[in-house]
Amino acid sequence: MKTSIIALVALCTLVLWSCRPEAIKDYEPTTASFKVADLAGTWKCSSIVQSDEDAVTKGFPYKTVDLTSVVNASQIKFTINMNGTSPGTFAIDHGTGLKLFKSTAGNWLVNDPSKPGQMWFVNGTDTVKFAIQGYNNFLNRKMVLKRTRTFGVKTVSTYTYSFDKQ
Amino acid sequence: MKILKYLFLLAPVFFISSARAQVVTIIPATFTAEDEVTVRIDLTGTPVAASPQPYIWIWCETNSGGGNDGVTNGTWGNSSESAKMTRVGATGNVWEIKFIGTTMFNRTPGELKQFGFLIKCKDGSCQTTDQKWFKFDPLIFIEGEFRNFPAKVAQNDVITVYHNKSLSGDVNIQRMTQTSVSVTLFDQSNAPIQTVNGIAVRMEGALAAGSFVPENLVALPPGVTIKRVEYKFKGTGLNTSGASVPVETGVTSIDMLPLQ
Repeated sequence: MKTSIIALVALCTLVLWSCRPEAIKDYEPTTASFKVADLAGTWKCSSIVQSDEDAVTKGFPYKTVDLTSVVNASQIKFTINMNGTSPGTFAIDHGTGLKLFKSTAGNWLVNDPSKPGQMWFVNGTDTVKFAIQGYNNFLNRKMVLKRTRTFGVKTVSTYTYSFDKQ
Repeated sequence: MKILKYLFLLAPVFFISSARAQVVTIIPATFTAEDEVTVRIDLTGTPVAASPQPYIWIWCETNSGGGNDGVTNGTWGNSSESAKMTRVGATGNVWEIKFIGTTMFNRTPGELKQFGFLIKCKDGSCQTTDQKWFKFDPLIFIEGEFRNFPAKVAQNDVITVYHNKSLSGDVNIQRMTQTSVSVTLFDQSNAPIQTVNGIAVRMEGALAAGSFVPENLVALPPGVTIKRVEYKFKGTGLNTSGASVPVETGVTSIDMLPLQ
């Protein structure tokens, strides 16, 4: 009887222990070799998709618009330069495409040089913030950036830009 | 420092309409007719500032045109007690009131388009200027003759405007061939900045569409921002003799929001 009780207690302890959540580990890039310098280079835009997040949330029709041909996205190039091992300057060439960005030159920054998730294009008081989408894209010489538009704290729309490295 | 941190975190929640004479804050910034809305206003410097108890006078506009007063209004010379504003803090001239659109206007969510209000003394002897319009987000999608994508935009967004001529009540417009979009920009004081014609139209199925970035249409003078744009589709139609004649649609307005 005593053995059964001990076994039962041990089993319960084991069950409860096994239900404990694991500690949330710090994010680690899947591509161990990814460096902030991988962002540098000349990037040619291959597509731009605009999404109405309010329409997505409410299940309305007309959730996205492919702007690629509308703005002649293939004309748009980002040139991202390093300053030594740190982020340096950027330049945007709209070519004959629709001008999408007010500032076409300035400095760029990242939120965390060891594992950048956000990249900012800064020119004076004008800042454009992008979220870097997936390090694995860089293995294929591609870069996907997402720009989120908010009204108060609510996300109302997004732009997803895809680039090919030149 | 901690308080400052919280204030910083809360700041984006509020939509401050600083272009108005009084500073009006609508919380939350976007809302449907079924959400509780807080209207907060700083009455400093207004004719109502000296009133010990201000009241709201509120009205709505419906999607079918027309509208009605809020159920709490009472009469102009004797506001209802349920229209009383509540002071924010122990002192000062910031007042607020909470309401739900469907209850306030006794309308269904699908009927309500936007609301406006003013603040007054109970007996109507003093009042602020009209504060309008504040739009209700739709709960259901209703296809209309005109539509813009995305629904909420700023002056530096790519805006695509669509025209569905089959939904027009005008037979000339139903038969028109759209060729361009005309856009008029208005500044923060609602004065026209410039009209830009000839924006290219493309066909997406039965819909005519035109895209543009408002702030890139013109060279804006320093300090000038675009408060709203008006657009219309231009094209051609045939008269009774079969000759080509110019046809244009009515005008539709899009508010530019302070998106981040």
